[in-house]
Amino acid sequence: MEIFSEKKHPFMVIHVKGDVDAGSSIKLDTAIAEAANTGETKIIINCKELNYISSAGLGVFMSYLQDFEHKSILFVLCHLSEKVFNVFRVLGLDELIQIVPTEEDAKNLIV
Amino acid sequence: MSYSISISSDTAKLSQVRHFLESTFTKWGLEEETIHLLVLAVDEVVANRIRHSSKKLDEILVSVQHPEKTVVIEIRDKGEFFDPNNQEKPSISELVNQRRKGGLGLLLVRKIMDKIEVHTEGPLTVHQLYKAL
Repeated sequence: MEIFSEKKHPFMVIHVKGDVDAGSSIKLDTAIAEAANTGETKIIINCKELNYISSAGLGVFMSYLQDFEHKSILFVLCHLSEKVFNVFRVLGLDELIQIVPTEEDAKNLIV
Repeated sequence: MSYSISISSDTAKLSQVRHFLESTFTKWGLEEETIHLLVLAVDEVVANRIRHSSKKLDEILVSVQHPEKTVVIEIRDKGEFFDPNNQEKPSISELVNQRRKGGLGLLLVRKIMDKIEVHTEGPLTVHQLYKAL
């Protein structure tokens, strides 16, 4: 799995590539924590090249939901493949986590 | 006929199990969505065994069979006996409120598979996952 964080003022876009599983989810966790700790308030997770996610990755997202809500940090996922989105749907997480089709849609949420 | 793969107890090896399962299920002509969900369920169980066993596992053997209209997956290792059927079933909102990163895997496995059975064979713990097609 590869992670690439890209500052697109005022957004921090975190690109996730490959498979997020129990072995690699720590990298995703670190990237999100770094964004939040450096004061980013609009975090977009671009999943265009995310091939696979297991509960370890879902758990990372979920663990930030409350904190981000309290701190009014925008946290949005975009470009999920149908296969990846289905994992969120199986657990009903698509109703808890903000998911939009494209990065543009994510940016439009605050305009 | 049964197909199997053996991996060392290391989460870095999980992708090998996923590739093995994908290729086997594809050969069997299963639907793409079914393949993905079955792979996910097995990935969750194997990851749990690796991460939560206090005993040294050495290796984990994953084998699959395809009796008529069913897929049966067996996971064998030397970890301690743990029956997910006896565990509490937290709701998603409870997990969010507790900011827990874990707990979701078992929920996924329960939602995807029809039946999970666990037994011991000598020093081995055997998880059997069943899915009707």
